[in-house]
Amino acid sequence: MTKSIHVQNVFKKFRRGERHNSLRDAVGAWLRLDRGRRSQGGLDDAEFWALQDISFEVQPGEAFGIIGPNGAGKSTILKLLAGILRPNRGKISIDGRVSALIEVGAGFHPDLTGRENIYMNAAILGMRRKEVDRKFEDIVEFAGIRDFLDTPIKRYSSGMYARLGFSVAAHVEPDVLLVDEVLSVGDRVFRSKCMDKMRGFLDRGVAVVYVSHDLRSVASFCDRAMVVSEGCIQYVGGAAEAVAQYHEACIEASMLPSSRKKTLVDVSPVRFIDKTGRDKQTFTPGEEVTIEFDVRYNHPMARPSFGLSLIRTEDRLVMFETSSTRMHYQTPPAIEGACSRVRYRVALNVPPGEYLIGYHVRDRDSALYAAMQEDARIMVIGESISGGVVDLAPKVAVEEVDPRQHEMTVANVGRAVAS
Amino acid sequence: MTAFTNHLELTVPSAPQRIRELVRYRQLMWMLAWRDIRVRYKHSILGAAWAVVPPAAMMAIFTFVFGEVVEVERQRLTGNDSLPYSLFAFSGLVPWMFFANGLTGAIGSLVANRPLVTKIYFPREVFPLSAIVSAFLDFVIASFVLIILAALLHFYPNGWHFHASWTMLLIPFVVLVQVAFMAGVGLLLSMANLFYRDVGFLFRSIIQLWMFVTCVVYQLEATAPWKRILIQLNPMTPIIRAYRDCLIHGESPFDGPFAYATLVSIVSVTVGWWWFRKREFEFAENI
Repeated sequence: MTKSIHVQNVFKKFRRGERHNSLRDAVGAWLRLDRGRRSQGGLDDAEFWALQDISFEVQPGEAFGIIGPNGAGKSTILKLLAGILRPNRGKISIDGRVSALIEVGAGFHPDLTGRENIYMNAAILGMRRKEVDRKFEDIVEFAGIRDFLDTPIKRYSSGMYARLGFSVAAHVEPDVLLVDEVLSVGDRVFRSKCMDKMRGFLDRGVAVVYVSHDLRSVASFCDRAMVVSEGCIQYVGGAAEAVAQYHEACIEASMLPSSRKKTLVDVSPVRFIDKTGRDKQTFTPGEEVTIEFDVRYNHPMARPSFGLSLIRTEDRLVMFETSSTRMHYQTPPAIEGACSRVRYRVALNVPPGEYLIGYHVRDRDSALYAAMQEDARIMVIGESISGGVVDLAPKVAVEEVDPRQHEMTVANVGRAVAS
Repeated sequence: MTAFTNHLELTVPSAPQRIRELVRYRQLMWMLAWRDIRVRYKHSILGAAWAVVPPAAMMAIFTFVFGEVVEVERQRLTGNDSLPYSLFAFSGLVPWMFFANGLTGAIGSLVANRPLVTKIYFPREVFPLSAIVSAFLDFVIASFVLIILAALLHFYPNGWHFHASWTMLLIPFVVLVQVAFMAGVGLLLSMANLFYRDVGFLFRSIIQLWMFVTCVVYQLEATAPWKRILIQLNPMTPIIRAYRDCLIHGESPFDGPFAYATLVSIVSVTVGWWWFRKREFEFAENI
């Protein structure tokens, strides 16, 4: 099987701070002319490994995701693949023409018009003039900037700017496409247009490497994915598994310095338990989950109330919020030092995405309040029938009716509107 | 679909591979130069006429200083009693300004295009070379004015006559030698400036001195004989002289010093390019 990208045991080191801080250092380095080459394998004090022992391959027509926290080395990997950086050790081979969407519109000049910038940027991406002439209409059409072709792009909105940048890069006809977090700009419609375009690339056998913090898009778009952290590979495998793996790692990390409030109550970390009694953080849309936490009272409470909310991480939209009081659930008074275990059972009728779970404890009589806002997060991965924010668990029926009856209905509706 | 299949590996690409790559990106070189020019003259009223103003202003200054202020004999300055000094100076200043502007642009080119250097891959030679191309376009415009000036002075009743000679056909070769020299120096200095910004600052002062140790506004014979040897070691002296030989004197420019300048140009472009390619992969992380 031919591989589009083959990365073998790649190491890359970077320097902390500047190369030479003073002329004295510079002269010193000059005298020891090729010092850099000799220490190729090792590290000196000012250096650190940005990537260590990275190996993976990508086949033609495969979408490969790279996820990980900021500073993990994701962009460095892309720059190595693009040929901008060279590894200190290891081997990278790429077959075919590479197009990198590392920064859209990197070659744009604000004083030039949209038309001029299309030609300019296309040349930067290695397109020939004839090729651009041929695709010019498509590029303009895709970016949707026809009316502003002869406007200097300094007058463009940031969305138009990004659309034009993506559009040019998407028409390069690469064999290998590198995409780095560029789709986060632009509106929803454009984003889905970009995704369609990238799926089209995959169908034509282009290998796509996709770096993003949008785990949902990685899970849905990529075939396989790699989790990197601090320059090392944590996991390589199926995209959904990689996303789940990364998600779990994030939760562990954020749990460590958990800010337990030592005031009104002590609250244990929240647990998410599925139907089979297993603890997990990743669920499918519609799945039932038990959300459980323990509360220890440091104050007596006459009428404690326990709240729960589900917040979409992406835009902080509160998808759902309730409390035991709202649900007319009677809770007994609590004395100091007592413990309660609170269990909410919910059906996750929400579309795929990442959600924060907020929970609070409140005394309805004394206004004592403790909120564990956004302490925990869960991930919903999989297909959902809902394109909106909730799943109303709809039923649908389609049946044949008599056309005359249909006309009557229309006429009735018309009359109703007219009256 | 794969018009250009490249197999990218850790090794530095071989020279023929690199030349193929440069050929592929030649349009980019023109477009970057064109962009420079578009942007440079976009908000100006005179537009591309500004290409002519700096050498013309310099010509006026030197004509005034040598003609009116210190009154140096024309024979001594130009080696020709009838040749107007203004034409002599302009014929030196036009190629000199090409040299100075091209190199100044080339030196800053990598740093000025930092987003491209760090975000997109293509042969980095394109930057300094396109700066030279953009200065070259100014040079072409100024050259037309130079020829017009020569033709006009032909009708000026002072005894000097412009003869269109076959040697004018040799000018492209002289340009080629100059461009090769500029490319070599430009590649080296743009790279040096990326690592140490001092290079750019130093160059701005040095280029001033360099003009006066090149026979731009005076003829070589105006200096003491022992100094001539030193001045001729500077390859720009034979190059500027060659332009005058071809255009004004109608003489063949090929002599010992010019052969030397040609050799220096070839060495400079070879070494410059070789070194540039060797260090190129360090640019993105050091810029």
